[in-house]
Amino acid sequence: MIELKNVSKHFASNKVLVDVSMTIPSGEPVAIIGPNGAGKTTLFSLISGFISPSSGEVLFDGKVIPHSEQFGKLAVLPQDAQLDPRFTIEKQLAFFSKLQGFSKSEGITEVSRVLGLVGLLEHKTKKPQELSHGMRKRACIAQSLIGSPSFVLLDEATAGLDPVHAKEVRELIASLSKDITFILSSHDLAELERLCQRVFVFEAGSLKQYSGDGDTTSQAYLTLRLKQHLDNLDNVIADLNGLRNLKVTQSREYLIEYDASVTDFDIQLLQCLHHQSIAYQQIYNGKTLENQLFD
Amino acid sequence: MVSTSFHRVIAFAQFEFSRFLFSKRGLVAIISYLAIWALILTNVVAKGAAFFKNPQFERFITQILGEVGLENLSNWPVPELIVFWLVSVLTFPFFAMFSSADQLCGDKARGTIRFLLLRAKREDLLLGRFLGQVLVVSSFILLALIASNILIVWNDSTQLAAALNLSSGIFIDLVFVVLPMIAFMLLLNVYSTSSKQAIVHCLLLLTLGSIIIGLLADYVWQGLELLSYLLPNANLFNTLSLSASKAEQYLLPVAQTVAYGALTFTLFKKQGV
Repeated sequence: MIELKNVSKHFASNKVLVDVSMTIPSGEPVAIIGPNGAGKTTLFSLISGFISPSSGEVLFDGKVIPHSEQFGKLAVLPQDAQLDPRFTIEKQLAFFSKLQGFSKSEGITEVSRVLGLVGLLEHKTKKPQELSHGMRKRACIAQSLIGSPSFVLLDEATAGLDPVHAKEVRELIASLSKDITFILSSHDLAELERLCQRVFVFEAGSLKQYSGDGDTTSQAYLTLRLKQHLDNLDNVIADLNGLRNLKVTQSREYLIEYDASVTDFDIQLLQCLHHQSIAYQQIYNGKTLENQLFD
Repeated sequence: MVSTSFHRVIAFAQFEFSRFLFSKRGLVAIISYLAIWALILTNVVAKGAAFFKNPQFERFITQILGEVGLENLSNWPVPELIVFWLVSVLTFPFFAMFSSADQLCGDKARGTIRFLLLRAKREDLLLGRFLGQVLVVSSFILLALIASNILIVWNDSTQLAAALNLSSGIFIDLVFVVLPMIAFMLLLNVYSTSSKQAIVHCLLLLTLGSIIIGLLADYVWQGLELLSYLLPNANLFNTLSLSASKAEQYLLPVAQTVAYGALTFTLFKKQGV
């Protein structure tokens, strides 16, 4: 479990994180979202032990970070970190596995395993500069999977990857998330939406909100995207039982708030749209991350 | 899976050794080093030793060595090693400076250090890198000594025993000469962004530092001369002339190395990566 207790971080007079307290138990993937400058990368660096908090405590499994027991259990894909251009990715990953306590033969097997997971096995004898940007990123993701980490922090894991490999990385995260708790930061909100049930929203260095498992509020949301914009949608659905509010979030997209106790609200909405011959493109259960972020 | 600080330090030291020797930069360094030492051995050491051995010049040489405070060296039975010693004591600290100029800064600039610090304590990394560089520089010292001994035996095979006996002492003394320089470069690596910057910082501190300390000692208070012990190889001439006390020759480099190491750790621990 990762815990932050009243953590603040400032660089000279610039306050990057202000009094952040949060707990991340193991489980489903977690998204950390926020605009540029919200403090996401600083938060990742604090959890990784790369920097120390100005005040407060960051704990991993109950102990203040950094401590030797986190080695191999807390893995990170740091943003902008590059492998050494002088050595093959196989040699570097083998060295990382050696630091984690693998023997030489175990290390070779482990490196093949993680490079296979990210589709780089046939490129293992290449040096980082011989690989494309996307391949280098995947090699860095591979290093985070060495051993059996319980938490993996991925900062902008799919940035710079082509759609095919970005999809592969998403599938990899989804397939490994039974055993590993992934903490993801990305500007691709649609990607985080697909992967994460738990979301921490940061703004100007503070934790703005958390939504995740166990949310029990009296109101529920549907995000409706139509094929064509409709100015009078509020009138069209006005008679639906449980409707509380409707807000136009962007062209053709509406955020509908309704009473959570009305369990068939989505069926009512679909029937209404069908009767009125209104074509819809997508219905999303809840607020999209984009709406959470900018609400 | 076992991963203790000891294992990690050894792993860092081994990787540092291979990082230097089996990289392009390392290969260039080895080839350059071999070329330079081939020139030194064939021109300086061999010809210098021939000059020492010439009975006509023996008294003259002894006088010259005495004039410049190197009379203790005239007792050495192998003239080639006298010249080797004079060249080595003055050049190996600089070789160590160049060799150990990138113990941290390249990895920090690239972000590679983050991959390492996810798996090791900062002290493991520092100690491992330092020991790795000691291993690299010691190997080069050993290589130069072996080449010198081959040259000595080539000229006069009866000197083998004396040469080997003297060489073992020279090797140990040279390792003590380079230790503080390697630790000093590690310290400079904490705030340098590249190996070139670390070398420039080192050269500036050694030259300007010595000049300022000299001026302070001359014009402010003689006792300020002790400040020179803050810089590595402050007693290099005493070592060169074999006039350094045991404490000065062995304890001072160790004390300087430990002090630089402790300061490096304190600063690096506070520094974000």
